[in-house]
Amino acid sequence: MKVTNAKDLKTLGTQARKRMSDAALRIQVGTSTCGLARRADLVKKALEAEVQKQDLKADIVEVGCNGMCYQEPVVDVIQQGRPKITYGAVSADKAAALVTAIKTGSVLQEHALFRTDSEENIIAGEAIPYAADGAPQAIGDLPEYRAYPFYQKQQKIALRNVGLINPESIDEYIAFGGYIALVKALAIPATQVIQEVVTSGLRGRGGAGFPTGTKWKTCSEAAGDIKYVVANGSEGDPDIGMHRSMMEGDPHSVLEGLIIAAYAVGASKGFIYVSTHYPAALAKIREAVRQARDYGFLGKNILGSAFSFDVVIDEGSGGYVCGEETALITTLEGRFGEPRPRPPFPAQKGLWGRPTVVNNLETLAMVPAIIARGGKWYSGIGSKGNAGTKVISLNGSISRSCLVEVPLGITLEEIIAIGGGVTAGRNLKAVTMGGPSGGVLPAQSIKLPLTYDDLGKAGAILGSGLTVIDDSVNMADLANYFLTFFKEETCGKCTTCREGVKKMCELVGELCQGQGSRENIALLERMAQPMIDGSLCALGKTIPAVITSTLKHFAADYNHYIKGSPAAG
Amino acid sequence: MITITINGKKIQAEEGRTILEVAQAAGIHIPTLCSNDALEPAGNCRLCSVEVTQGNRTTIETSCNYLAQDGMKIATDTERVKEVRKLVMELLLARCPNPKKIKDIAAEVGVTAPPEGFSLENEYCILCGLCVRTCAEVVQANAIDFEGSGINKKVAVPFDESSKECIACGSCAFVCPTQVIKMHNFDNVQIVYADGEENLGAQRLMQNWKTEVPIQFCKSCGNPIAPERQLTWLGNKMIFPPEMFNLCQTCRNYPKIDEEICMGCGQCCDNCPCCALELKEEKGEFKSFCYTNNCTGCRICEDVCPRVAIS
Repeated sequence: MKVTNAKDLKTLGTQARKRMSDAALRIQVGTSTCGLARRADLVKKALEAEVQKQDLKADIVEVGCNGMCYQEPVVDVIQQGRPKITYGAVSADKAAALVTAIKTGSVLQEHALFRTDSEENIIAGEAIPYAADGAPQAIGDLPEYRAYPFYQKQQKIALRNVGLINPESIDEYIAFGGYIALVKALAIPATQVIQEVVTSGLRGRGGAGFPTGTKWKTCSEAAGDIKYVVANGSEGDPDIGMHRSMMEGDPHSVLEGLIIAAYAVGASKGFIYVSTHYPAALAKIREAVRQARDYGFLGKNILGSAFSFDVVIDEGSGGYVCGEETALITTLEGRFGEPRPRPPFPAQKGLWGRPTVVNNLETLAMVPAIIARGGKWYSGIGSKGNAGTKVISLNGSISRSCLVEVPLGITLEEIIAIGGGVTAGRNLKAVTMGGPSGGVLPAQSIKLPLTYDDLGKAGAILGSGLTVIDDSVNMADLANYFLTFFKEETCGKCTTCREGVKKMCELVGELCQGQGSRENIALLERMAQPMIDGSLCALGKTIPAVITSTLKHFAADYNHYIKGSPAAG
Repeated sequence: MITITINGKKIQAEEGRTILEVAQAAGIHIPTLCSNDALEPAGNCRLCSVEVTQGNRTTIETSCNYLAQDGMKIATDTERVKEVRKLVMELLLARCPNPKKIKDIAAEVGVTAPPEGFSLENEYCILCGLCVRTCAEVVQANAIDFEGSGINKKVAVPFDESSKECIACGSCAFVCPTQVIKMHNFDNVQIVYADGEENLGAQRLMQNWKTEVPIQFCKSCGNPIAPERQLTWLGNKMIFPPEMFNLCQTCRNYPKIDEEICMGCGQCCDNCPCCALELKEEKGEFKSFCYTNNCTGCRICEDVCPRVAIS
C-alpha cells in the first residue's frame, strides 16, 4: 500500500496506535543482541508457552534494548487499564511467576523496576498516557519512569523509539509519529530543510563534530546532478554498540533521517553501511527498507512529490578505518578501505566523484525530530554551541554497562553516576572518551562537561563510548592493549601509521614485559608529533594520543615497569 | 594563474597543479619516494610532506597530492617538516635496512641509522605502490595489487599464483625504487626430469609474480623481441594487425619515400598514428621524412599517399 499524502499517514498512525492500545495484554521482550546474549529468546518462548497454558490472550512482541543492558532480559508488560511495568533480569524460569502475576493483577515484586504512566512522543511533543483506572496499589508504589535514577538525567531523541516499538513494524513506528517529519520536509523547499538543520546546531555525532547543516549546504551547492547520501553505520571501537542498538531497535528513524537528508541535498540514491558483524541489525534495516518501499517512502515520486530516492544496504566487512568517511566511500566503490586525501571533501567530490554527504547514523536519527519540532527546539537542548543529545555506551569498570542518551553539557561524572558509578570496591583512575582514538583522561577530568570543545581541549573525542578504568589497571598495559588494537586496524597506506604503530607497539610491549628503558619512553614521545603530522587520516593522527595522554597523566605506571626506577614493583 | 609562496619566495603557477609540481618547476627540491610524473599521486610514503598555511591554519600535507591554491604559504624545511621526514625515513630504514635508494634518501634527510629502540626487519618492499599504479595506469594490465591490510600488506598477484594477467613487460621492475622486483631473461629454460629433459626455450621470468612467459623471436632475423604476451597485449590495444609485432625493430618494413614523386602534401604525417613522419624542407621543397625509431610499420602512410610515393 502506498502512502501518498499526510492524511493517509495520519489515518495509518491513528489505526496503529489504536491497535496497540486496544490490545488487552502486550508483553514486550527486549531481544537486541544484549538481550539475546542473556537468552531473551528463551524468555520469549517460555512466556508464549505460559500465556497459552494459563489461557490468556497476549501480543508478545520483540523490541529493542531500552538501554538497560545490565538488566537484560528486560520485559515490559502493558495491560489494558494499567501503566506499563518494566521487569528486569527475567529469566525463562520466571515466566510462570510473571504470567501468574499478570493474571492475578499483581506485580512480580522482585523483578519489577519501574512503571510508566505515559509514553513520550518526541515527534509530536506530547505524552501518550496509559489508562490507569483500577490499577492496584502495588503498581502505584513502583517508582515512575521519570523518577527512576537511570532515566532521571537522560533525554531520548535519537533513541526515542528504541525499546518502545517493534522494530519490524513500520505501523508502530508511524504510531509514534514516524514519517511525519518526511511529509513536513517534502512540503517545504530543500533549502528550508537545510536551514532548519543549521538552526538546530546539530553537529556530526561521529566524533569530529562538523556542523551537519554546513555539510548539507556544501553538498547541495556543489555542481552536479547526481548526488549521494550515505549513512555511516560503521562501529569499530571495542565494547560499544550504539549503532547496533539503534538499528536493532528503531531502524526507521535512521532511514527517515536519510531520506530527509537526500531531499535536502538533492540526492537520488543513498547507501546504508552496516558491518556484517551485526547480522541482527542488518536483518532489521533490510526489513525496514522493504517496508518503506511498500509504503512509498522510498522509490519514485515519494508521497506524491517530484522527489525520487532509493537506498542500497552495503555490507561492510567492518574495518575500524572504514568509519572514516573517505575510507567508507572507497569501500562503497568496491575497493579496499583506504582513506583519501582531503580536499576535495566528500561533500564536493565523494562517491564516484559525485558530491556525497556521509552522516553518522546517530546524526541521521536526530533529523526527523529536528524537522518535526523545528531547529529552534533542538538548539534549546544541551549547551551553547553544543546543541542536542548524545548517545553514549557506558562500559569498563562500571556497575551497570548500559546505553544512555544525555543532553550535551552534563558532566562525565553525572553520566558515570547513571551507570551506578565505578564497580564496587574499586576507585576511579581514568576514563576514555571516544574509544581508543580519544586518549585517556585522568580521574579529575570527570568534572568536564560533555561538549565537543571541552573534551577536545582535554584531548579526548566526543565519540560514542565512555570507558571507566579503575585503579587495578596499569595505564602502560592499557596503552599496549590499544596499540595492539590499532596495529590490527591500520589500513597500511601511510608509512607513518603502518610502520609507526608497529614500532610503538613493540616499544610499549617491551616496557610492559619489564625489558624496556627510559629510551623507549623518550623515543615514543619523539615519535608522537611527526606521526600526527605525517599521517593522512584521523586514525593515524589519533594513535599517538594514547601514548601522550598516558605518559602525561600516568608516568608512574610506566616507571613501574622500568628496572631500577623508584616506582618499579 | 595563481600566486603561492614557497619558503618566502613568491611563485606564479597554473591552477590545478600540485604543490610538488609547482615546487619542482621552481627548482625547489622536495624529496619523494612514491611519486612519478606518469602516475596519479598516491601519498603513500609521506616523505614529500610540507607545511601549508592557509589563512590562519597551518597543517602538514603531502605535496604530491595537495593542490596549490592562491595565497597559500608553503614551507618545505621547517623543523616540523624535518621531523616528519626523519621519522618516515627512520621507519623505512628499520623496515628495509639494505636497499641503496632508501639509505641514500635517509642520508639526504639526515638519518644514517634507525634509532636504537627500533627492531630491524629485512624487508625490501617499502609499499610505495609505484609498481601497482604503473601496472594499472600505464600498462593497464592490472596484474598486481596490494594484498592483505595494515602491517601485513604486500604487493602480489592474485592468490600468489602464476598470473595470466601479467604480460611480463617488466614495467614494475623498472619503476621499483628498491629493485625488489626481479625480472630475468633466460635463453633456454630446461626442466630436467628423472627420465629426460624438456626444453621450454627462451623465457622471461617475473620472479615476484611467479610468472614465466615465452619470448617471441623476430620472424626475419631470429633475434628475441619481447615476451609473447606483451606483444599480443600491445597488438590488442593498438589499431595495428598483430603481424606487425612479429618483426623486431630493425627488421620492420619502414616506409621508403620516393622523393621524386612526393609532393609534400603532408597526408602521411597527419595520418601516422605514431607521429613518425614529418615534413622536412629540402632545397625549398617539402618532403616527407620517416623517423624509424617511432615507426611500427603499419602501412597507413602507404594507403593514404595520393601519389604512390611511399612503399
